This record gives sequence, C-alpha cells and structure tokens, in this order.
Amino acid sequence: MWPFRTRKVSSHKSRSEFGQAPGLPQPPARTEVPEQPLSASLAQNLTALQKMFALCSDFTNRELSIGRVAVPAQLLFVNGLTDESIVGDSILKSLEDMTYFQVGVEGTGSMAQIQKRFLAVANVAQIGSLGEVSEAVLTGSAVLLLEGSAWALKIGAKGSEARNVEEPVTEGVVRGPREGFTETLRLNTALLRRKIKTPDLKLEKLVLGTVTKTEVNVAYLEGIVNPKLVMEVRERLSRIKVDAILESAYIEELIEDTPWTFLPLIEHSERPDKVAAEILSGRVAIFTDGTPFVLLVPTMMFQFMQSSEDYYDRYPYVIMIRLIRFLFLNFALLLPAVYIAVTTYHQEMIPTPLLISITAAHEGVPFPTVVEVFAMEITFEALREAGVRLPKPVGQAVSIVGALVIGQAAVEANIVSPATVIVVALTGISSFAIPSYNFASAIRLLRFVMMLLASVLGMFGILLGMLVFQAHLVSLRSFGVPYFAPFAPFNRQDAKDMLIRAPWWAMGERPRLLAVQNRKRQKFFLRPGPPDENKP
Amino acid sequence: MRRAIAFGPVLLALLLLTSGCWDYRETDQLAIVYALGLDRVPGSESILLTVQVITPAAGKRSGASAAAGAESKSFTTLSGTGKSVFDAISRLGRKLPRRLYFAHTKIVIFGKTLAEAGLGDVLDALNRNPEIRSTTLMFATDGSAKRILTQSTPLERLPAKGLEMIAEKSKRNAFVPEVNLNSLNCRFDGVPGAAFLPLVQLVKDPGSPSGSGTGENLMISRTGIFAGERLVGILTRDESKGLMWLINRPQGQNVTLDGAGGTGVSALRILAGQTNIVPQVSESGITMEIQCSARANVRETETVGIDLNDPASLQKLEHEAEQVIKRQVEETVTDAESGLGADFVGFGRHVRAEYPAEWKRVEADWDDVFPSVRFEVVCRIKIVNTGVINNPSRSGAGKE
Repeated sequence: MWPFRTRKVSSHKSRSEFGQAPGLPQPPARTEVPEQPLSASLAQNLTALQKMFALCSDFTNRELSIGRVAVPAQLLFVNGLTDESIVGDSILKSLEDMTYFQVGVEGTGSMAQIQKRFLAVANVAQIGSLGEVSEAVLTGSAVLLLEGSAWALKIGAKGSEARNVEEPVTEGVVRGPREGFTETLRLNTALLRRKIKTPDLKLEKLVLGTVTKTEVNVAYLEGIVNPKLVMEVRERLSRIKVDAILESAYIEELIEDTPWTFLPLIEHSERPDKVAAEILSGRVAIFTDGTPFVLLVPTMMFQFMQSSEDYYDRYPYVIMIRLIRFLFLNFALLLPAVYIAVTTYHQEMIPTPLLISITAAHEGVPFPTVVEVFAMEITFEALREAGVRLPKPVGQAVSIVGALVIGQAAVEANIVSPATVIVVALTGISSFAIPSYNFASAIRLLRFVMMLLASVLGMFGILLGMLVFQAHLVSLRSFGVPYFAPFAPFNRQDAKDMLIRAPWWAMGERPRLLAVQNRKRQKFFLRPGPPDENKP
Repeated sequence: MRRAIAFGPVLLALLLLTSGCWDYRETDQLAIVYALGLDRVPGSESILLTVQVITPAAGKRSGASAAAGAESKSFTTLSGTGKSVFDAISRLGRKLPRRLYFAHTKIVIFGKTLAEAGLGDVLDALNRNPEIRSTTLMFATDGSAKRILTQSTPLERLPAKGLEMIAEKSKRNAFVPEVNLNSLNCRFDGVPGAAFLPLVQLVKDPGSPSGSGTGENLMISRTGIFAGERLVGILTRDESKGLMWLINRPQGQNVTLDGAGGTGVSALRILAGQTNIVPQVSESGITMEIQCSARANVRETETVGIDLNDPASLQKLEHEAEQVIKRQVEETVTDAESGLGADFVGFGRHVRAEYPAEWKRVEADWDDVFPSVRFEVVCRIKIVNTGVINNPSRSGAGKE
C-alpha cells in the first residue's frame, strides 16, 4: 500500500464528531464563550467581569457617572488594545457632554439614545451577554456598562500599536509596489481593498482557535471565483478545531489536500499586489490576523517559479529569466546527484579534459566523492540555517567564515576536492534562484533523496527518482485543481503564463481551471501599434 | 496493518542500500587510457599492447613544483603482451594499481606487423568492448605502434592528444581521410571489403621543434590501404589527396599549381566540392565516370603579370587546377587498379547501387574485374574568390 492514497476518509469522520460545523457567519469559537446574559445591576455585572479578568493587569474599568442625575456607569477596556485618543477624546468627551441629558434607569432606551445621539465613534453596537463583553474587550473595543441596563455598548476603539507598512522582506522587487502586509488584519484587507475597488470583493470573516480567537478573512472576487471553490474553502476552514492559530501556516497544514508530500500545496505571499492579482484570476485568499502571510488557494506548482516582478518587467526579459529559473531549478534538484552519478559510475559521460581535471582534483582526497558531496551539502544547509537564525551582523560573519575560510581551507588541506566545492556552491546559488522560499526548501530536501539514489544506483537511480517524482507531481491536487497544471493537463491559453510570460495584450483569458464561469479577462486584439492613418 | 504499511518504505530503502554500488568506482581508481597501440610480435604471446595512460596528478602540479624543474610527465606509456588483446589487457592490468579504463580512448594505432598480418581478431576485441567508442580514431603506422606512442609531440602535453589534433587538421585540409572504428567496420563489412587508414609516421626533421631530443616528429600525410583486413600498400601524398576526392571529401584541400601554363606557382583552396562517380555498363565492360566539381579561392599567386581581374586568366588558373586534380585522382585510381588491386575507392559499391543486376554477375570475381574497369576523370573548378586582394601586390616588380 502506498501511503499517498490512504487519506482523510477515516480521519474525516472522527473529526466531524468533534463538533457540528456551523455556517460561516457564526464562527465555531463563539459557542465556547459563556452565554450568561447581562443583568440590570451594574455592580453585579462588574463583579462577574472582574472575576473573569482577575489577575489581568491590563484590564481597566473606568468609573463614570453620566447624565443629569449622575447614573453610575463603567467603561471597560484592555489597556494597549485601545487607542488612548479615541477613549479620551471621543468616548469620555461624548459622555461628559451628556450632563444635561436625563438618563433613565430603565436602561435600554437610554443606551439607544447614547448610541445614536452622543457617541462620536464610528463602530458602536449593543451587546447583551457577559461573553460578548469579554470578547469585545479582548478584541480592542471599549465597553460601556450602565446602571439599570441589561445591555452594554461595544464601542470600537481599536488602536493597538501596529507595524507600519514596509517593503516585504521575502519578496523583494526592483520594479513594483514596495508595500507589504503587516500583522494587522484590517490594515491588510485595506491594502487589498485599495487595489480592488468593487463590492464584489468579499471578505468573509470567521474566528478560528478556541483560545486565540484569531480572526480570519476569506477574500475572493464574486463573479470570477468558482463558487464551489469558495464553498470548499469554507468547508475546510470550518473543520478546523484547534486551540490556537498563531500563523497562517497552522491553517495551511490543516486544510491542504494531502500531508504526504514534500511540496507546498498552498502558496503564501506578503505582497498586496500579488494577492490582488491572484484574486483577480479567480483564486481565494485567506487572511490571518497576526501574520503578514496570506494564503492563496488553489496553488499550482508553476506559481512558485513566478515572482510578482515578472509582470512588471518587459516580457522578453521575463521569458529569459523564467527559463533560467527553470534551468536552475533543475540544478538545485539534480546537480549534486548528477555529479555523484557521473564521477562514480559513468566516467565515460564526462568530456576527457574535464575528467582529467576532476581526477586530478580528487587525487589525494581521503573520502569517496559521495561522502564529500554529502558532507559539503549538509555543511551548506547548516550555514544557511545559521545565517538565517543569527542576528544580522553575526550572520554575515558566519557566511564569510563558512564560505570562504572553511571552503578554502578544506580545499587547501585536500579534504574536499575543488570540483565538489564548485558543485555545492552552484547548487546553493541555484536554490536561491527559485523565487519561493518554501518551494526551494522542498527542492533542497528532495535533492538529498536524489543524491542518495545517485550514490546507490547512479544515473539509473536519478531517472527512477525523477520518474517517481514526476508521477507524484501530476498526482497532487490543490483544492481539487491539478498541481502540475497548466502543463498537465495542458492548456494553451494558460501556458502563456507558465514557462514564459506572454505580453499583457496577449493574455486575454483567465486561468481555465480557476475562473470557470468568467474566463474573459479583457478585450481581445489589444496589441498596441502606431496610429492607423487610414482610419476615418 | 498500519505498522506494516509504514515498514514497507523502510524495507524498500534497505533493498536499495544493500543491493547497490556494485558498479561504483572512483575516478582515482581508474587509469584513463588515451591512446591504444597494437603490434604483433613473434612468439606465442603475439599481441603487444601499448597504452598511453594519463597521469592526472601531473596536471594538478602548478607553480612552485613545476618551476622547480621536476616536471612530471602528464602521461605514462605501458606495454604488455598477451595471446589476444583481452589477454594482454588483463596481463597488463595485473601490474597496475588502477583499472585500465578505455571509455576515453581517442586513438587506436595498428602497428605495421599487425596490420600486415590482419586486423580481424583485433577489431573483434575492439568492437566487443563496451568501453571503446565507435568514434575512436583508427590509425596505421609503418613502424611499431609502441614506438609511436612513446613519442612526445611539441606544443601538446599529451602526445596522443597532439596526434588527434594532427588527424583532425589533416581531415580539415583534406589530405588524409579520418577513419573511426565505425567507418572502418563499414568499409570492411561493405561490398569491396577494402579500407584505408591514415598512416602515422615518425619523421626525422632536425629543423622543426621536437617533443623529444631525437629530432623526430609524428606526421600524417599518407594513407595505408587494407584489403581483406590486411595492409597491402601505402598511398603517396598525392594519391591520398586524390583519395579525398574519390571519397567526396575535398573541402579544404590545397591545390598547388606549378605554373606550367605560364601562370607561375600559385595555390588554390577548395571551398566546397563534390565528386560523383557514375558507373556505366556497356558490352565492352564497366566504365566509371568520375566527376569532380568544386568552388575554390585563390590563396597565393606568383607575380608574373597575371591579371586576376581578367576572367580569362582566372580560367587559365581553373584549367590548371583541373589538370592537377585530375592527375591526382587518376594516379590514385590507377594505383588502386593495377598497383594494389584493392577497390578502396568504392567502385564496386557504385556499381551495386546503379546496376544491381550487373553487380550480381561480377560480384564473385570482382577482384579480377576491378583492375580492368575503365575510368574517366572529369574535373570542373570554379574560382569564386581571389582572397582579400585582386591582383598580386607590386605586380610590376616581378614583371620583366
């Protein structure tokens, strides 16, 4: 039995027993919050809440008395999650202005009055249970409790410290927008909304994680996206029952089609322009609060070989760059394996002068080529890891010591042959020519498998490995869409943006597998040219 | 069950690891044979095998040690005898720390003794060995192959590499054909069963730079002729050039005109040429019409007042060149027919292609028919280009 096929069927049922999956608008996490309604007594409510927030030093309750008869009230919020100026200038100031207003003891009516007439704040809503109060406070709202009212006012005052919009670190470009997503969900969706100005851009909200209560937004473009895909995304997200979602990777691993693969089945990006482009071609984006990385589904393998700059550079250059990328993808996967195979099994395949220099270089090296290459590749991985982990200034020192000193010394001391160092270095560079970091990581992992096969079976092993790899690639699916599309199944229109990138005027259609119902992207025959003199 | 499934890949991996590596060999376990020489010696162990093995470490040594004067040779020549080629290889292998590796053998040289005794058994060994490529160049020599392989060449560190380059140049300048194992097989298995191999010779040449101190150098300018897998004769330089026309490879050949027609010594170079051999069968026998046509340019001319702007003088040159080429080709064919009696020029092949019925009739006694085949050489040269200049520079100087 091959493990790749035995998935989900058994585990799926046990998972749905865990809890009935509710529809999207009611996030599942809600059910865990105590549904106890608020009482009319302010003191009682306050005691209950203070008990709930015992030992939470950031929980603040501001005592107030409002109106002509000085009705006692409490303003609750979590320090740091709210904007001081909103709480002070808008809420407290508004309540102060109510001095001549007769606040009744019956509650509800007064609450509505306060909400409608006095509060100079944009988002205000009435809430009626302790659970809602605690949730509102924890998500950055201020809550107003009034003596005699069984309702509370949830006042939007969110304003925690947020990182500015900066240039994305993982997806830099020479030409193109320099903004990147931040850790704040609303800001991220705003960045997207700024690019796609249509009410068709939907941002469905749901809350995941029973403890973290992380807000997740599912973004898509109605009219272009395949509705079945949206339903599938909803279905898979609602299946998630975990305590915490701290990064979109949690979601990624819980909703991908199969876990039995090295390859990433869901792409992520921290570039608003890229996410907008993918949504415009019919994909669904999943925003997660607290991370700049937005998931994009469904994903095809060729997306990982594309950078957003491909669409901002001139297309002939992009075609060359893409072809080079694919060449180096093959290098990253196969170069050390081919080097091992050719130098230890198939010496007849090396041009004679090269064989002479390789032999000369290996003369006196104590280890077999296989050991040499494995040792160097593992060292390289360690160096890369150390370089990422260490603080920037130290990281530089590591790479200099690692690359120059160790490499040079190892060659001088005749421990590794210079040819091996060249191969390993070229492979290292190759893996960085792949635009997507997580795809490159998968390739690096597979490289070791290939090296093992090459060292045991030579070129035959590499061919076997590639056959299995290729079969695996075409068997994968991401949200039901073939992973290796548009190469297999092949589609001429979609292939215009695969190994090459056609100029914009030639790409009249959206991807066939995504925008099922609405394929026409733009007017055809948009190719620019000199003005037509004969035109009337 | 689950555990069994998980165990499956582990077993597969073990299978891979335990079975593998039987073909594994490091590059430093190999003695890379660049050239191979075969001679026949008297005695029971009649095959003398000579290999020129690359010494890779010599290439590594640079700078200090090379300057110290202890220049290590980049090759080693080893020889050993055996009852057969394979026997000789394995006997020689016993003396070597490394395995003799023939996949990079570029050159095979047959010594005169072996060539005269016949190449048959040796060719079988070469063809059967998977390491020897069918593109390996084949040579004959008029001495011993062993001697050739111990001779170093000027300019090249590896003598066999030098020889390879000399052969390449001979082919490009069309004075001796290039023959590899595959084409040699084709010639022997083909209809007339006659073949030719470029002949490597050692020449005493005190004037030129020499690899060794003996003042001897390797040279390729003649062609050895094989009939029935035996060396039967050697063509002269001119005949070799004629052979290049007959096998339709005249591109790059230099045609030197001795100025008999009053045009002075000049040289043409064939830019593109073609030879058609058209057999004609009549009651009086077989006639071969050899049609040589080529385009050429002028490489050199003596200053005897010829005006190259004048088409008439170009025609004069063309005519002279035609005569020279015709003479060369005729010499070659005459030598093949009456001198050696070996159809290495491929007449039989053409007859078979054009007149299969006639060929069936004469096939059995082709060796007797061949010398009586009449032939006629028709040559047509067109000068298309006179080089960078038209008329000889200082044309007045030589005019008297």
